[in-house]
Amino acid sequence: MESHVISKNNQSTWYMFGRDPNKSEDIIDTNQYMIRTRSSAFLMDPGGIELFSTMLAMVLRYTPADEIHHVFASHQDPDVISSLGLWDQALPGAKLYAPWIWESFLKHYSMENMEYVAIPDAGMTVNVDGLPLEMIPAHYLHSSGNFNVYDPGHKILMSGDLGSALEDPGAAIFVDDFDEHIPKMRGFHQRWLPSNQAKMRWVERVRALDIEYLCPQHGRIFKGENVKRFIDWLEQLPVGLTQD
Amino acid sequence: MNQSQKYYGKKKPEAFVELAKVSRELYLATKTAKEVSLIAKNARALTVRAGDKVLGFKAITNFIDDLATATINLATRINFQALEVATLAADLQRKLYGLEQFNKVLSDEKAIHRESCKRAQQNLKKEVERNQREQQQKLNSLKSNLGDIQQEIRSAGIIALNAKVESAQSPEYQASLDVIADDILHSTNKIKERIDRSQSIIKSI
Repeated sequence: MESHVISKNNQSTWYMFGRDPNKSEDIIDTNQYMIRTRSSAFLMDPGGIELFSTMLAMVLRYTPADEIHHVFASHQDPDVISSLGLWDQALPGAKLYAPWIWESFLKHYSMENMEYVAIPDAGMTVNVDGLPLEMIPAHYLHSSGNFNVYDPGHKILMSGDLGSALEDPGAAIFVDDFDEHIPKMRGFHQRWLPSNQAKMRWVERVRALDIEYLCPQHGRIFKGENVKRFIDWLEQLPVGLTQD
Repeated sequence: MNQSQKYYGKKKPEAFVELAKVSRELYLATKTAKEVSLIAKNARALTVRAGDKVLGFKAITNFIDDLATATINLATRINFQALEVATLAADLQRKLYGLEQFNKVLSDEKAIHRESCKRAQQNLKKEVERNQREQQQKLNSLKSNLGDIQQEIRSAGIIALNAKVESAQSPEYQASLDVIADDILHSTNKIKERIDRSQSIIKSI
């Protein structure tokens, strides 16, 4: 698995983990993210159970386990958080921030030690070592209870499945040619996102944010002008289409 | 060899599957025991009609009915125990997988903070050991209860054979009583087979 620093300032560093060359071919590649502050860490969508040991080893390159106080799950999918039962063993004192509607579902992955912090539909702000992180609602995109994470300090939006693309192994970290990237994400968004109405609400919501990096859970990260191009592209894309 | 094999040995990584099979055998044994109970109740009705001519047979059917009820209760209790052990075994499998993952991390020299997950690994190891001890205790109890039920079924088989002898004492009712005795014998043999199968599965765990 590779790790990349996305952004760094005096207070914190954003890491991206992914592009695991040892990953089985029949499972989708995922991007995991972590914000490291001076004395704490916030882990986002830590991934499936099959990559737990790789992911934990990567994370422990940058932080001791007992400083990972916060874990975030954007929604309930297995590629997002099926490793929960093991993180629960590794980080017994940590809090899991996840949509309130998934609480009794996510606990099927086993959660005996961590504290579940149910994010209300309207979102909330999580304070990580003095760093305010906003949980931005992204319901029905694709999950019916779903959040993005916005860090105003770094101007980064961790957008979950929004902006995701199905890529070949070893793809670059950033989108370089937006037009070339469109075919890799069109089908994904049209099939996985069920609601144009929900999509428009999200577009409106994130346009109000100052975003320099848009970091999806699959595929490449959007930077600078490509962030705006992605939001404009998604706005005009009809979603909820099926193949039949 | 992975953690799971180290703890279970090569034959036994799927103990929870084997225990689910025991549970199935016991469930089916319980169903057959209910049939025995029904046969015994029908026999009792016949013996009431036949009166003093079949007194010996009547005593036997009463005894078999009681035995069937005891078998149902015991098999149900053992079934519950088997499911409890199966749950523990499934939980153990999950914990062993977790332990394997932590061991991988602890051996990764690039993970410079790897020692910080040592406590989690040790806690998990303790839980594995606790689970194994509890499983062993419950398995022992399961074996002992299966032994009890085997004993009862053996008695029921002998008594069913006696029922055949008794039926010969009442020529008027012999045909009906023979059918009843044969049914009981057949059913108790079926229960015995299921209990024997359960015993041999448990022994293999």
